[in-house]
Amino acid sequence: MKNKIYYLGAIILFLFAGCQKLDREIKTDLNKDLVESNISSVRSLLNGAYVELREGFQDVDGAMLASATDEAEHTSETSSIQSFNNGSWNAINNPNNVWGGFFRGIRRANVLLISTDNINLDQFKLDPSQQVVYNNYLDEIKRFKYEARFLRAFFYFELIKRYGGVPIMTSPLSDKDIPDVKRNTFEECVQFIVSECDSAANNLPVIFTVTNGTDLGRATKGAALALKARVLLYAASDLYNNPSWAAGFTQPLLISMPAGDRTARWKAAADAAKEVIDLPGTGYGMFNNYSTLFRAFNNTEIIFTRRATTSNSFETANLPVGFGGIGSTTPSQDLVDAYEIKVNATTSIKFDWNNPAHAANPYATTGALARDPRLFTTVLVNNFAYAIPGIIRTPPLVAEMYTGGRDGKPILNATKTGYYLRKYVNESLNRSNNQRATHSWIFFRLPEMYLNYAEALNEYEPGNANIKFYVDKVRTRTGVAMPPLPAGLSQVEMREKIRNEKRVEFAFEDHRAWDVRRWMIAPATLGGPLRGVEATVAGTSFTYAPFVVETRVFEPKMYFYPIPQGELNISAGLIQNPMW
Amino acid sequence: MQKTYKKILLVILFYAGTSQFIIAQNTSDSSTIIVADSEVVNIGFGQQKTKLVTSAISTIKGAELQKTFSTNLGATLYGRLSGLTVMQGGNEPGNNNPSINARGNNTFGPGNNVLIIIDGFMGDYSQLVPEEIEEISLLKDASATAIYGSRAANGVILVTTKRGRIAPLQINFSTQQGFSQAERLPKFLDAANYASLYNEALANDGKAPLYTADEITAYQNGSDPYFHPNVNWYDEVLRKTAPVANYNLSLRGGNTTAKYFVMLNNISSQGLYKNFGDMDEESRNSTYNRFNFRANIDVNLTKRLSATLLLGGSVEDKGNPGSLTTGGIFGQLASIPSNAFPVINPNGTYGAKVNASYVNPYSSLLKTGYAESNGRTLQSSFRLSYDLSMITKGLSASTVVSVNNFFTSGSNKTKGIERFAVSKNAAGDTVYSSKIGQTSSLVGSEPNLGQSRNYAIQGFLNYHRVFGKHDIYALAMFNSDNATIDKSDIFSGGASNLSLAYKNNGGGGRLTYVNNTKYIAEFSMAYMGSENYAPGNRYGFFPAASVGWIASNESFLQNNKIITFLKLRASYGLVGNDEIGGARFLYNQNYTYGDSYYFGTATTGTASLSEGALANPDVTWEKETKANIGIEATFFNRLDFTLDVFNQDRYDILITPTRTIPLYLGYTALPNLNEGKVNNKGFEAVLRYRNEEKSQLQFFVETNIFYARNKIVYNGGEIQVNKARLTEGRRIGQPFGLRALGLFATDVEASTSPTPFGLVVKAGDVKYQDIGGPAGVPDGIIDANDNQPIGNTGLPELTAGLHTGLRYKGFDLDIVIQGVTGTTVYLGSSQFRPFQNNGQAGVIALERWTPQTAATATFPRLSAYDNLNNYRYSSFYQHDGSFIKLRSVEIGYSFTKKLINKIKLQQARLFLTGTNLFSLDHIAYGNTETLGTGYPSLRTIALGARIQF
Repeated sequence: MKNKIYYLGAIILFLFAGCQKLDREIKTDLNKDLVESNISSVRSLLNGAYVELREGFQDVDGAMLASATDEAEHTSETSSIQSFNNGSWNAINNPNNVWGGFFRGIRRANVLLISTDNINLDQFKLDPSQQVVYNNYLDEIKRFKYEARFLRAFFYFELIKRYGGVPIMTSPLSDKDIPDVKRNTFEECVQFIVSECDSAANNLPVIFTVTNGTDLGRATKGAALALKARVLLYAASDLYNNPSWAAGFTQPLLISMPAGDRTARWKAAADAAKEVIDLPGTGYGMFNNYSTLFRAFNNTEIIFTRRATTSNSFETANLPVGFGGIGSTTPSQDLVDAYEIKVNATTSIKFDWNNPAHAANPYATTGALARDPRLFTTVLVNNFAYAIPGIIRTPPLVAEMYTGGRDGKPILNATKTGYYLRKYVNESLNRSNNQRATHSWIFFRLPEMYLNYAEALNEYEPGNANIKFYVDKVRTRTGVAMPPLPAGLSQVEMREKIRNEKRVEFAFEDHRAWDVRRWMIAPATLGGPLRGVEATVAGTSFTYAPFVVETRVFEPKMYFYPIPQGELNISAGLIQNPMW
Repeated sequence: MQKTYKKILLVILFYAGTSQFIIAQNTSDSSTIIVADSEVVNIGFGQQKTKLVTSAISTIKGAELQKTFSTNLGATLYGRLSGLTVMQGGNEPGNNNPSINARGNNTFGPGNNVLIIIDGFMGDYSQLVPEEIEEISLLKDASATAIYGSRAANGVILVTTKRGRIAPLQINFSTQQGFSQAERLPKFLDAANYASLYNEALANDGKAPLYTADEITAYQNGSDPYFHPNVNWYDEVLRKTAPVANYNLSLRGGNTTAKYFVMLNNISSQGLYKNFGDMDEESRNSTYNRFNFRANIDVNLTKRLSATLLLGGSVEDKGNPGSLTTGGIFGQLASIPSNAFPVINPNGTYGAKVNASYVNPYSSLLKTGYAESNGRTLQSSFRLSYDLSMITKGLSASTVVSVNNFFTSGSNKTKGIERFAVSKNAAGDTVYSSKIGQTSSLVGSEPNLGQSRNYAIQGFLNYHRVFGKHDIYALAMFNSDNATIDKSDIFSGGASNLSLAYKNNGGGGRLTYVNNTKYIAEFSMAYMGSENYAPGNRYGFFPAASVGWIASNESFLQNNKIITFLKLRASYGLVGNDEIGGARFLYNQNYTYGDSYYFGTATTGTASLSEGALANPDVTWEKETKANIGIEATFFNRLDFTLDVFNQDRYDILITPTRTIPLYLGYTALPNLNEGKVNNKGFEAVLRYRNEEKSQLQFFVETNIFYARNKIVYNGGEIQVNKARLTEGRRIGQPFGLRALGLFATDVEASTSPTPFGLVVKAGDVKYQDIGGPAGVPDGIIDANDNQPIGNTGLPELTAGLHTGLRYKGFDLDIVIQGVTGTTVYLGSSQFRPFQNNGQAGVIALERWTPQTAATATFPRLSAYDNLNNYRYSSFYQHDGSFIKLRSVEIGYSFTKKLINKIKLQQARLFLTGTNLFSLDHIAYGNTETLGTGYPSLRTIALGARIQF
């Protein structure tokens, strides 16, 4: 009997010997511990936040956001950007659906902020010969945090200018936190961004130069202060101080500042811009070539930019059809009209189709009808010399946008407005050899600070000499040399001049869509007719007549983007923007 | 009677968990008529008396499977097991696993595989041969499967191999010799038709014709085979029939000390390619050859201790000219226009076309070398069993170790061959193009094509005791297994984790109580764990309960002449499915590399890193509650009837929850959450009639019918503006596409109807229904917004089998017919896309729309270039996939004992087997189940002989 029990015991023992541990034996994925202990992985984590900065070259379903403004028309009719213009966008289909992308950037910044504490630097710390490297690493890790906080603030600004107040998140959330998520007020968001910019500005280097190598392009003190200046300018503007268009909306603080001292807001904006202008040690200054400025990532005018890998896809997308492109972004007549006529060294006037002289020679480059030179570096107009390597066109090498021309109707993808885009386009690339070039999307450059300062100053202290001074600095820049503004402009006249200066100087740089909203002139600019020009050949000369390309829809609710419907369905704490 | 019964039960219990049962010795040989009504049935880790079963199980004997000739065991199961839907997969020998589904489809997750258990352990059954199989059982409801816990939800197939028995040595030898042929091959236009229709297609596109009338005539009369060739590539490369053969030798017997079943089997099936190896020494013939062996030995070591060794294995050799798999060549056969180029040029070189995507298949098979594979499988288990009745009466224990292994190595010999395009120049001289491809010498490589291995340990305690009217059966078991798979990763994990073993621990138990052979109650359970989940979430509990009432044992039915047996049963329980998909170890937060960012002035970017899909710390397996109600009845002792009705609710299916995780959480990729839900319900019924056993003409007829319909209850998919695109509430695998309204009659109709954006659509083009748009209402544009559910899924909703056999004197006949309905096939392969992608045109092009045939045309107007309107995924190319197929027929003759006893034989039989003889269906262009352009489905006819001595 006893023997038998031994047998049984033996069998049972044998069984339990077979019981294996269920733990993972090895870890072969990149996991949290591995990533957080290694400085180069943490550096890559920060890059993960940087890559969420959006280049505007082809950001909206292949189109530039300019094509959803009075700057341009997008040629492809199947691109979803058209729904901005025909008014069919909504909370489910938003062609510029950046909500998720910027929150992704915010999460990545938040992840970085809690991932910088466990970096293992022992191999440097414990090695006496590596103390310099060690201290450099400590500095770099400290800088990571402020870069991340700047990026997070930047993403928040991109969100609030579209959506109004959004939930402020300073740590990565999990799905358990969803019930607690609510939209912060617009003012809270502005204050958050401003204070984050202040912290970042106090701790980031003034600039990174080419000579100190590999860090050019990272966030700087200048970038943080420029962001602060822009967000304060927005917060002082009409749209965010006048919720009356959304009468009946129960949560006006989500889309506007509370009632308060506008003068103080304008002054804060002006002071912030002036701080950038006066920031010592930056080397900021106006660049001397308004054309190549936009194909560079490293010049004195740029405060913050994103450089992309070399490519030629922007050229493919925007070269005229006759030059091997698909002519995607075509500037409007409305934009072209905004470029002034430089009568002489002291006088400039508005272009006017009703003036027979103007209408007869709308594209003069010299003489008393000469247009602002920025027109011709921004827009390719008919019968202007144009040459693309690898494209053989029998002379004359000019753009032909008239009906029957090599770049005009009825060719597929020919321009609808009579113009093609020239800004950013690298005309020296031989795409038949797949030649590529660097493209750089500039977020902040110095003249914006000049104009922001002038705009804010003109609102609370009209007549201040600095207003004209800084607008003139932009107008009279090297290579443009427009006449200075006349003296003695009224506040209203000056406001118009500043707005027009902003329009032509920053065309296609993603300012217009937000400027017209905050100025509350969107119904007349984003809505209504968008014009192009019809060129007619008469022998060797041309006549031009503006015409309406399309009539666009803008309703007041479009001052803000709708919160995506899917988000509202999940989060009871989110409130939709007015009238969506 | 009662005594024998108890004795049987004792033996069952003693061997429970050993998958061994020696009392059931009346196992039929294939010469006898099978009446699938054996006394006991295999259940999870044991056996049970058929009449006491309270769960849903269907079974088939191995001898029946022998009536179908196939190199793949799965292919012998068509229409045989009620509740099992077997659909043809590939057809190439060695690459021909059919798809099997138990009770339909229960999950939209990636793992819908039925659990295969061979003699108690997970394994691959496709390489087994029917000759070594005692029985295959399909376990369907919760009560039958719960003991398999987290692997059971998709149903379980138990394969039990033959064992020795206490009887004198019995030697069986059989052989089958026959041939297989392509059931149907895709048909394409000959050169003359191709040319004239191509001209028509060009005209439709507004282009000038390419072929002159003279050229078409030349194609037609074959007068100019080099410059106006008319090549049927199938005829050039394939033969009409390919030989098949099977040899089987088995020895079976034993005494009270040792019992054995030993078998050696060889099966070969040559491919349909011509014998290119006979034409060129650096090519080879297409062959498939496999040896299977098995040695199952039971030894009683002492009065109480016994040992069992089960050893099965196979060696599989496969070789093809060109490359190992045939898909590439068959794809070429289906894409080269008949008039493209001659097989061999006038100067003996191989034909080709300049700038074509296709190469000469003939030269590929003859002159580019060959590939071979050699696969080896070993399935083994060793068991010790001990009778512990000295501790308490009726107790026994056993323990078993199993090691399984699979390895395939390859051997490739490749070289290149130059080809030339031949043409005539303006002067009429023959000119050759510069060479296409490069002739090179043979280069060898020896790849590892895949391997898998696993081991498992199990232990059992069994108990059975009768106390008066009360019978109690109990089983407790423990299982621990470990599998390493890099053959095909069933969990589709990330590559870096592929080599990590899958580890599972678990235990289970079953308690059965029978009162007075009338009332039965059973409880079974499993407690199982897997390392794939977070600590704390690794183990799960899967209980099931069932009850049965044998009404015919009640006094009021005891002697009823009409109802001779009646049982009602019901079961309910919880089971799981741990083939959840996604990466492994989803509870860990992974990090992934993303786009580079450019700092400094360097042209190289710096890597960015971010969290990958958000971790799901609570990740767990899919679960399913299964409810089943069944009735089993026998009338007049002749007519058996079984009906089962089931309802299965699968939940915790892994989904990416677009609808519940907000974007503002800022994830790079959505987490995988256990939130999906599917409902599946249906019924199955079996009706069987057998006549008097003593009559001279014996026959039986059995029909089974099975129906299931599933519904996606929740899958967290995106919100749809166009409600028709919502997948919830639809079946799993529901095709979504455009609804075709026919062909446009006039250009005016075409230009005024909704059409795809930017296309010029004309009369004869397909007209689609416009039901949606960006705003959810028809927008006059045909695009993805107009997609809607069209047709049925690929998995039939209703399958039926008809099995009948008869025997008269020495002759016997056995027929299996399978029918399915509630399924749709899509004509999507190149044979239904004439001229598209510069390809061939199938005969379907003859049914095209022309102004003359407008009223009767069933195919749109032809286009010589890629047509962007007509070939969208739409209901236009959907056809009813229902079919009735004669899966197998066997006619046999057994010589009379009187005659064969003279030569000391116990049995001698001749038989003729036909497999896949014909099909009744709605598809004129090929096999409904494998309607591509790949290896064709095979019809096999073989003559066999069997002797036993």
